[in-house]
Amino acid sequence: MKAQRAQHLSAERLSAYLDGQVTPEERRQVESHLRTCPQCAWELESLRHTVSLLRQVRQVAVPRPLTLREIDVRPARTPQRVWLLPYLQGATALVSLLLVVLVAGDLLLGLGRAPQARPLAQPVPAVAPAPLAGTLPAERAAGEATAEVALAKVPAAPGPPATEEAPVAAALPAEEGGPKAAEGGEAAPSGEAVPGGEAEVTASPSPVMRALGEPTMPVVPGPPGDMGGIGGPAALPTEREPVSALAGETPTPTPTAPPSPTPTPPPATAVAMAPEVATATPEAAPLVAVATPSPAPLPAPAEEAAAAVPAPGVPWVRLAEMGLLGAALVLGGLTLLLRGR
Amino acid sequence: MDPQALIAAARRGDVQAFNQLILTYQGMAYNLAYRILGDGEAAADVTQEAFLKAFQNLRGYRGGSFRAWLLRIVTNACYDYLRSRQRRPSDSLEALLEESPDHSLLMREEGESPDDYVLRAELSDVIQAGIATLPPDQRTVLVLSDILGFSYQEIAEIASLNLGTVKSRLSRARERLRTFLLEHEELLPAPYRLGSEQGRVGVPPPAGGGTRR
Repeated sequence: MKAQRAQHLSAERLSAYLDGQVTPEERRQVESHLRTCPQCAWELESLRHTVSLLRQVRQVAVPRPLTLREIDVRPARTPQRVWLLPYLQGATALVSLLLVVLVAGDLLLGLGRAPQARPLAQPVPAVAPAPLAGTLPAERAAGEATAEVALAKVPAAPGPPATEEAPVAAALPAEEGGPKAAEGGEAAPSGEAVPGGEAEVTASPSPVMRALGEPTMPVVPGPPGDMGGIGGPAALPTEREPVSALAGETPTPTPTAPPSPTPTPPPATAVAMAPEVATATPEAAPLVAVATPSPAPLPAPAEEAAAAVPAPGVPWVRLAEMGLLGAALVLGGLTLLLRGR
Repeated sequence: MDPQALIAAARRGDVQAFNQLILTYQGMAYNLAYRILGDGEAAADVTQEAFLKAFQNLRGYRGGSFRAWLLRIVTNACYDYLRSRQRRPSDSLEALLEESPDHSLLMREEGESPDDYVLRAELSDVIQAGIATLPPDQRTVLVLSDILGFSYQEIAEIASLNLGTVKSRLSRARERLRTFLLEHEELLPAPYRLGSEQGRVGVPPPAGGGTRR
């Protein structure tokens, strides 16, 4: 008895025995053990009873025909794809949010670090507003830009007087005046149109700046080249900075907007024009908007203006923004596609 | 039409040929799904989805038992469904019993008296509640073997297991179900109790100190 107890039959063996799934040798062992071991005998009987109950559970009727209809088969829709949808939606939302945050952060911080913002701004107009402003102007602008930038800084100090004339320049000049102003530096353009009177504050937008610059520092505009600008304005900008910075923050786009819309695109000087482009064309909003603030505070020293001409490397912020925008578009497209199914 | 011809036609996109195959196997497939899921409506949906999947993947069928191939797809569809639903593991027995079958679904055997039918329906409810306490892979093996009457070999094919695993899984499932039935004996109709004349198994003898081999 002791020996047998030590070798109780496993449930697996009993179960297989019930089903006749044992070798003749195993069967003999099991049966001889069962004769002397009540516990294993009970195990076997209870298992046998359980199985017999299961066998009495009979089939249930199919509640409806489970055949396929042609229509089920045609679309070959795989229900598994649906689980992707929420993830896609989430990803789209996340990427869009990141984009907004990045752009907003860039906008706000970009104003703060006026000097650095400058080089940043340059590539953007070339890329984003390109279709609007046209690439040619952008390039041409490069050369002129420096001059204009220089001008822009000059006005800083003379702020008040400039305001009256500034608007004038902004309106008409935008198209032809822009380049002229840079080259000729004549006051002529400035006297023409009379856009928003507040131009003074909004100094940031190029036309205004140009206008401002002319009256105050006639010397500077004279030399079309950057050199002239560099020498003169270099000192002034610093004082000016606060003003332009403020201007760039709030009023910048609006006041200048009226005059600029049309004229801006053609001259579209890479640096100075950026803001107008932004205000004029809403489509360019996200990308250009970012650029807007940077040029405004441009007042950066003349060296910067010069440095700006050879386009600096595309900054990572821009890359990130464009990457995010692309990702958001792709994800959004996929989401729509999927939802359409 | 012989099954191989129907399969060949279905492969060429003939839905009606495939439907003939479905009519042959839907009862079995539905019952398997029903016992694994414990929910008639879900079982119908899952089975039909599995059939659709099978139709679309007919190329994946490379000879052998078509029935086993089809039931494998149904079984996997059941697992997917259970995973997606993450059944509340703490389902109370009452809830399980309540959820269980519609007796209208249960087929009455020929020559079965109404009383017997009722008793059998009650038994089925309790057994179904017991099956629901098993892990899904044990349910499958138990249902295939003891309710649907498949051989170990076929079960191995359907569940993609080797024979040894079928054997051990089945024995574990039976043990667990036995324990469940002993613990809830009062739920079983009297004739089906282990201690009844019919069951005549009685109380287990005091456990011996031995080890099982």
